[in-house]
Amino acid sequence: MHVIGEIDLATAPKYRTELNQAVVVADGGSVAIDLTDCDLIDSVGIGLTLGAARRVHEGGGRFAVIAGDRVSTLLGRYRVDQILDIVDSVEALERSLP
Amino acid sequence: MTDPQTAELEIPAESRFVAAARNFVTEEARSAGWMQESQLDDLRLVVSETVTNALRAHVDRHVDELIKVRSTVFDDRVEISVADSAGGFEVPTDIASLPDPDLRSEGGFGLPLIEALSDEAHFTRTTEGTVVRLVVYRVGHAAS
Repeated sequence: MHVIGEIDLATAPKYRTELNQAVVVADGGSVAIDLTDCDLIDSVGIGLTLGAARRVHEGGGRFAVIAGDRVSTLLGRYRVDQILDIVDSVEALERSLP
Repeated sequence: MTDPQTAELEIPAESRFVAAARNFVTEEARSAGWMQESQLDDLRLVVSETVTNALRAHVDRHVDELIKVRSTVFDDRVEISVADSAGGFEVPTDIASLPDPDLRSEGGFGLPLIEALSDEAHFTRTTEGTVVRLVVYRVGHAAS
C-alpha cells in the first residue's frame, strides 16, 4: 500500500478504507505501507496506523512502515517510532525478509 | 528588529480546511524568513493538531461558526492563536502533567504533541469557546 500526500482529518476516511482493505486482503499475513511519498501524518493518521498494526499483529502477521527521513521524524514526534516496525526503503524491507 | 507580522485566517469547521490553516501559518513563517524545513514541518504539525481539536469541538457541538487562526511572526518566535466558538472544554491545568499517550489506543496523541512541539501552550476558556495560544521559538533563538 502506497500513500501519496497528507494524512490528516480530511484524508483519514480514505486512509482508513485503504488500511482496512490491506489488512483484510493480507488475511493473517503481513502488510507494508509505503509512506516515502507522504508529506504529513498527524495524530489521526497515527491512530489509524497503530490500529491496523495491532490487527495485523493479532493475526500473526508483520506490519511494516516504509518511511524516509521526513516521515520518520514525524513518527518520532509522536513517540511511535519505537513501537512501529519502520524501514527506510522497499529494498531494506526486502533485505529484512527471511 | 523588524515589526511583527500578523495575519488572520478564518476557516469553516470542515476537515478539508485543516490543511489551509497549517499551510497559512507555515507560509507566514516562511515569508518572514524561517527557512529550516524540519522546523516548518513541526509548525505544520502543531497547527494541524490544534485546529483539528477546535474543529472536532465544533462538530461535536454542531456549531457553525468559523474557527479563527491568527499568526504573529516575530524575529525570534511565532505566536499562534486558534479560537473556537464551541463553548469551551475542560482544559488540563498543567499540560506537562498529562500522562503519556496510551500507545495501545488509537487516540490521545494530539495534546501531547502540541505540548512537545511548542515552547508555550496556553488554553483559555472564554464565553464563546476556547482560545489556544502557542509560542514556538525559531531554531537558534532559544526561549530564555
